[in-house]
Amino acid sequence: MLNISDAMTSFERNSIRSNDSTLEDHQVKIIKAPDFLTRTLYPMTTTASVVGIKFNNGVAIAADVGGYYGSLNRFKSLDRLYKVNNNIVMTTTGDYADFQYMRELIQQKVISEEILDDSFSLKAFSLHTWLTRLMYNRRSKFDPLWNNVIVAGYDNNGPFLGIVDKLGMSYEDSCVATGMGGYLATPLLRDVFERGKGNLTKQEAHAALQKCMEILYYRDTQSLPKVNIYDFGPWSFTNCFNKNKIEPFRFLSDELYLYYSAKQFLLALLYLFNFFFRQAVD
Amino acid sequence: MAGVLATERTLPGFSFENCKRNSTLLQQGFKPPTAQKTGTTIVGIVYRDGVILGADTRATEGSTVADKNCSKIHFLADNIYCCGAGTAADTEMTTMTIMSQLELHRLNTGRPVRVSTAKQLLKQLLFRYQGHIGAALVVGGVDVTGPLLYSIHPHGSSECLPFTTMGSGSLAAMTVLESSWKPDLTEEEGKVIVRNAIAAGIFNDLGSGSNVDVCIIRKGSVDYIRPFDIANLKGQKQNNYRFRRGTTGVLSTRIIPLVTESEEIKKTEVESMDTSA
Amino acid sequence: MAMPRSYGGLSDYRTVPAPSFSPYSENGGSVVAVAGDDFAIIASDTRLSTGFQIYTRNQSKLFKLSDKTILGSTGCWCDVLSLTRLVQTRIKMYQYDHNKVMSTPAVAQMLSVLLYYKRFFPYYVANILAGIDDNGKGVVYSYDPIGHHESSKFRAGGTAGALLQPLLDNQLGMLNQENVQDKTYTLEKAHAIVKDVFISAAERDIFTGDRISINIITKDGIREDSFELRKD
Repeated sequence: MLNISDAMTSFERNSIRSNDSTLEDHQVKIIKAPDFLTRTLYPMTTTASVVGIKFNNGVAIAADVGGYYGSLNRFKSLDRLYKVNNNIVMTTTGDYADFQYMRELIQQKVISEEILDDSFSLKAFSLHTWLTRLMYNRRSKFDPLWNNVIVAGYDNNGPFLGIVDKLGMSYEDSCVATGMGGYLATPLLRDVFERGKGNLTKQEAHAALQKCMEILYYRDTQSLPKVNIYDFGPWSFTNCFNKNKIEPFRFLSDELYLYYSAKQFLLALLYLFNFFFRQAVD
Repeated sequence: MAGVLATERTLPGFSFENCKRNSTLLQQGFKPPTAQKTGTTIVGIVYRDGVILGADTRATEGSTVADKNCSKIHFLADNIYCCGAGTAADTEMTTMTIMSQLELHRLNTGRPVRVSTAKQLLKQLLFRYQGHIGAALVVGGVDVTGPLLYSIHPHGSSECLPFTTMGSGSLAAMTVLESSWKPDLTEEEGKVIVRNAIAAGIFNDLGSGSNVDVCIIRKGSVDYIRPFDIANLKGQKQNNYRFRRGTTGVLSTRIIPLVTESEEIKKTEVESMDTSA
Repeated sequence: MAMPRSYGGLSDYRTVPAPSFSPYSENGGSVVAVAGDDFAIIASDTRLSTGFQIYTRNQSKLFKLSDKTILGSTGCWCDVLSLTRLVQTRIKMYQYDHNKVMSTPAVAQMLSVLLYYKRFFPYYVANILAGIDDNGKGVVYSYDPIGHHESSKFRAGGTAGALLQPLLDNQLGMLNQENVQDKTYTLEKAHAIVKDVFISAAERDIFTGDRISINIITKDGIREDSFELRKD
């Protein structure tokens, strides 16, 4: 068994600038201490549900702006819909730090590709496959990125909507949802999609997503009534950053509960009346 | 005094005699037999004139379907019904126990029982057993105070709500209720909403399936419709699976003729019924 | 939903216990394959699920490896994706090295080796390989997760595997039946039985349902068929 002081000395020894000739002057070789766990054993700051749906000529996804620390609502304006390029948007449910790490990786990929300037750009399908490999490799090292990833996009092959989970399990579908959305939103999305018979309009798709986020706000403790929606279609080939983003909205629906509390009040009155009436009779 | 064959009449309530043995066995890695669970979708809503309860009809044992058409809406009283989710035996026995208590209560008071009485008896029973009786219930009925709907959790907490769901499909069903329930629904609207809520559970939750049962409780009348809707049709088989004659082999044949050895006719006297007690 | 309610104290933000990590998941699904004298049929349902949740109703578990070979794979879906991708790559490498398409028995052997390579961190996958061999005869191979394999005439695997295998034994192998003269079966009969056993599986196995995708392999190539199952 290795005690902690042994580990420290090996860490110190390794992190001293080495005489490695492959290094430039300004570079420092950083070797991770071998005996410290660096794994995500559980997520810290997390983000909640994402929902997405395909429509007749495009795809839309929605996510709220909350960041949670356990059951504490720690951050209230995280814009986690990451627009990868003009035709892909990507976001995650789960650990926010791991999301930021993945965003950096993807950003570097996109920059490297732009440098080539060969008029090719990353497709949603390719990114989805690449992320599947990334997640699977990390889970195989028992060091998973603690996220469910949703990739949405539009290219020559039409709309794309896919999911990858923290094991590297992935699939494509016309409606996807992560987190509590998997239980609360998918029934509604599937219903809307089936009733649309593959000819759902963009407006209908947006309405469905908003309804899902509203229901999640009612029933998921980790949710906020502020939501970002992105959509992609043939129109998104032109360079239009932020054009697809819909202003955050809020829900107004308290009359339902107002009605019921009023009814409860009347019932209570009835009980009281009954009670005193009985007393009087006795 | 117990006879040789008949055991002594047991005390009322559960028998706990093997609990200590079982916990020791568990520690030694024994796998106990699992109870049948109804991975379930049950819902209840209040509408203009009463309460509508709904349930799916699938009972599961792990990943296999144990019963394709079981009944999850139980009778409690003429004006009260109860949907059960969780451990099948617990929901059935709990509702049966309370049903008989409610009937005694009705006879004692000479009045139709109240829904809150049913709720109180159920939650007190469940609380006593600290969640070990795995019954999650939706109780609905109409009494002098009007239509009432309660949901009761296995640990004994309860709430009175205008619409509620329980079971593994409750989230799917709740989506439908949250997006379509409104105050003062007509019976027709209510039935459609309950049907859709159960269907959401049937199609999106693997623990729920088969048909939709619905029970409508109004003032003075009840409609228990089973099945209300057959959500899934069984596939049509392509082949014929009747075995041909001779498929089962005959190993040996022996014919034993029945012989009458003797015949006796006996006349019995008519006994008068003992009414002295 | 059946959870005891709690009212957490001020510092008790994290009421949920820290989740532990398991690299495996069970994503369900069944595969059935039947080999005939000059054909092979392989079918899978298209439901991808976990726990009580349906991920998608439209994910075939059949992977085309060549014009003569198809692999059906269920279990832990991330392992299925990785394994099939690896097999497909190795088949391409073989083709580029040897300038010929890998035969079905060769693929069968290679798959076994690839599985056993991961003996101590296995692919949690039930594989059934169907195809026609170099003589045009139908063959079916079935595997355990770490590479044991055997050749058979018909095989059911996946979550409803244990439910379906006796049915195939009885209806195609004519097991436990007396006075059976003809033990052969035509493509049409096998095709119908494959559909019928899936109808039965969908009745009793909650992880099997939605649709089946069927691939029929003959010397003329692969024909695809699809058949709806119950969706609950």
